[in-house]
Amino acid sequence: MKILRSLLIPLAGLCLALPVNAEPTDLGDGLYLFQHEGQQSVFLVGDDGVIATDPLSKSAAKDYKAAIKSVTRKSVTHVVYTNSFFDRVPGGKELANRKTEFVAQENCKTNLEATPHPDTPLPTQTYSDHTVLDAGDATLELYYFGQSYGTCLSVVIAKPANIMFIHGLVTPPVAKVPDDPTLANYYLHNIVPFFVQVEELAAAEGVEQVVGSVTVEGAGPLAPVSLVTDQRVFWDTLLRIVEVEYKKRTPAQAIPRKADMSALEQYEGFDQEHVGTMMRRIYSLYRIGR
Amino acid sequence: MRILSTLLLLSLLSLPVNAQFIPGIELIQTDDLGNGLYAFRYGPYRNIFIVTEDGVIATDPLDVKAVGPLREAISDVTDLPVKYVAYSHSHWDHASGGQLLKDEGAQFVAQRECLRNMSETRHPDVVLPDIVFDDSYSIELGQHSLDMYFFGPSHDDCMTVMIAKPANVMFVVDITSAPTGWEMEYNPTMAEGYLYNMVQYLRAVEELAEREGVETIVSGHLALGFNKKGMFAQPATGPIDAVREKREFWEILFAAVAEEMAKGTSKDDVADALMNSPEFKAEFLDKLPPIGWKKSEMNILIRRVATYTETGR
Repeated sequence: MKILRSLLIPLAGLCLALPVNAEPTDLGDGLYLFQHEGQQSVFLVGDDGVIATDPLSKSAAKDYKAAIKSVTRKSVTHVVYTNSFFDRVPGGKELANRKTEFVAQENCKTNLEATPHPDTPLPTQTYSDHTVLDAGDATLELYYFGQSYGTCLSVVIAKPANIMFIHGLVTPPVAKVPDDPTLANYYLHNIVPFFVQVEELAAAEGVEQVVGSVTVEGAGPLAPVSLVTDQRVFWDTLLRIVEVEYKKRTPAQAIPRKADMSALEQYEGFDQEHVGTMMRRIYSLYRIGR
Repeated sequence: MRILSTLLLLSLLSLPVNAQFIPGIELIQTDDLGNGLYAFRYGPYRNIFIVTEDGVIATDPLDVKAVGPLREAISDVTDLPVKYVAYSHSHWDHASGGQLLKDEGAQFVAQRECLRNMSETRHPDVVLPDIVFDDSYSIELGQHSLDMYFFGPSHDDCMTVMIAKPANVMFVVDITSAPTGWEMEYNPTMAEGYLYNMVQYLRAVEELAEREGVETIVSGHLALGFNKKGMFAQPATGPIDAVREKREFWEILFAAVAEEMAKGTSKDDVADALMNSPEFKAEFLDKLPPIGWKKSEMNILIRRVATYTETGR
């Protein structure tokens, strides 16, 4: 597993070295994977058109459009923002025509209204908890389980492929330590309940595979859906370690030195200083409740 | 005069508390600020209360250990009951312990999102607000008032600033500190910090202060200073300039990180680049007190700002 660590592609910097893959990866049953400079999004091709997720950026979306055209002449009926982050959602106009709906969980629209981005059209269609986007013989289902990574993250299931797409929180092939040690935009009070709900959803819908939003060189895009459980166990373990120290009244700044991190060493991307910074953040969950 | 940052200050809180929680500094202190306004401090945490002819308006009860001494401090001034408790925000380290005041009939007031937060992540020692508001609310009692204002997310998503009248003193918690806003953040990961609205929030507070003629703040934490005799507690009050200073802190930091990332520097490398930049040192680092912050902590804060720069949040 340690070998894989060196293969993981960070979101910025190194990922620029990755080639743009205008040839999408066929995941089966109309679902395709578009990859661009270390990031990736899925799109679904059905009888009635194409549903594309996260356009990534204005320049990426031009390649995204080419990737879609390489498999179908059908137009994009929906652009789905699975979150509201500027490294994922700009560029949708490149994929859209005048009839295209921009779809997101309703909090994404609130976020984008509060902090507009010039290349990010506001969602024209929002949902609260669950919605189904119909592409004819295929559907893209969106689920919202509360604050998790950001305040509007959608969990996506493509059918009939029955593959789940989750931005940021799950990265095949294995459970890993998040890239950002400050855990910016992680809503820790709901992170474990979020994963539990995703696990329950996967079981209820018979989902067997999951795809993430980051390209990992040398690894396939799909992992068994048990990866969701593995990642939840990571969070559970990390939070419990900090909680134990908090209850011992270990000062926040001393927790990285005093905490027993051995249970975390198995995870991809483990680094003592990196995880120590996360522990500073997690301390606040127990001190302030968030 | 050197000012120790909240960073060091709060690390001291984790030491066993006694009558002097730091040598030479009392655990509990009450300051009469005039016009019925008092500042109460328990360790490094501070609140205000207003004594009126019809009862008392209290603010953040702090926690179960602090609320008893708070009630005693109020009793030292008046026999009248606490009628209202105003929450500055929803974080447990300021909002716990209110049951003692609830039991004597106090009504709890907070911005609407605080109720949502407190309901979502329940703490057994946090009393839920009875009265919620969206943008502003005035608690009026006798000839006094406590005016509460919300300007969007900042340190959390329901933080309010308060103006006690007629004292015309502003109570600010965690978004800046008296006597100066040029202080390092206690938690450089900015747990629940809403960076995208921080500058706008502080600017709105500056405008409010200007409109209301406020010249003085009381901050939610003790600041320490040093002189030849050693460490001492800074006064409970400071100039309103601390709000502008903190706004400038963020503006300069955001601009520096954005400029560095625009050069192609990755999120993980921005801190190294800035910490080795003479311009960043002159424009930002040199404005911080020489004691009370660590390079490693600043690296974390810069990394947090880099994510904000990339994602918008």
